[in-house]
Amino acid sequence: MKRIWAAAGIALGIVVLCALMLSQTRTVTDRLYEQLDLLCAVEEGDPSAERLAEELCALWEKEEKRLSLHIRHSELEEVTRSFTQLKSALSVGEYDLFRMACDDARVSVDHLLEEARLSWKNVI
Amino acid sequence: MYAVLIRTIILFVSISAAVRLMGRRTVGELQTSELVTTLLLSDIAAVPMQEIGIPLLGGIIPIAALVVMEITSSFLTVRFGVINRFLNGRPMVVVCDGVPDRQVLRRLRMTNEDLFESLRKKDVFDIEDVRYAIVETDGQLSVLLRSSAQPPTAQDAGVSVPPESVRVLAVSDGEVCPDSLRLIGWNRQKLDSTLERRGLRMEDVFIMTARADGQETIILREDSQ
Repeated sequence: MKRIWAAAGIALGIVVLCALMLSQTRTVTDRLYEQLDLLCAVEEGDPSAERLAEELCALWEKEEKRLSLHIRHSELEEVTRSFTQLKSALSVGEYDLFRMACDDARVSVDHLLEEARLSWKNVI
Repeated sequence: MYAVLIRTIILFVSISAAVRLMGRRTVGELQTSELVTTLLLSDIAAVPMQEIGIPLLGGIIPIAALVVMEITSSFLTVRFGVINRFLNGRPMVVVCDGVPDRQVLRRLRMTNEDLFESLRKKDVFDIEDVRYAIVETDGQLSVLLRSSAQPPTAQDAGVSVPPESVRVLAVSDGEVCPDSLRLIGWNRQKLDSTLERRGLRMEDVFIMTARADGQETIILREDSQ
């Protein structure tokens, strides 16, 4: 009888843990989207662009450690790569490249959230 | 590589705890769900053990989920016979009065050679000696021999034998085995007085076996001899 209660406890723990991980991913991706929206809305030559890019990278550096507990590192590296490209495009003043990097960054963050969600695609 | 080492230790502890929680039957003769769980456990643990790019939780959560499912299915099979029959099947009589049942053998996908091999493993070399042979749900074969083929008991021979008395391991490498002592109705004082009578200390003893009737056997440690 004790074992079945232990099993029930473990099952509850797993469900709560999965819910917490999903909630954490959603919170982080929401904040990333916010920062990305601000950054990607800047006009060419806007001096605040580099500051916003720095803030985005600092935010990602902080959140990446927490996400690495439950998200594959290869996916996190994809996001890091896309944000680095953003910064690089800004620093060389390539606005077209910056626009493409913005889209790329959004896709990589979308992918993070997509993988964490409970969906038929993920189950199958 | 330190990361791989630490992951291995964590996953080893997790799997040991999982197998322990699932109970002895998982380690002994396996039922279907237990076999599935055991096979899956090792595969699940292997991937995050070596791939540091995969989070540890990616191994621990599936292991925990397997434990939950295994315990739940064990609980349900004990509580509900229909679930037990569904998950584990039923024992089947393959030989009755020395005659194999062809239909049952076919259902079990068992050849005559398989049957005879299983009988030989049970020290049965003549199928005529078999009253019943039953394939259990875990695939093991149980055999009941005909009375004429069974070895005689003391009762058959009209011989009186002393009552059975279990011999337990009372002391192992200087450490007392309290559960074993309880089984033969001994307590710590009795054990100590037995050793004192022989002029021995606990630390001197490598193995001590004992019976309820007071008979004991002591093997000393090499450095105490």
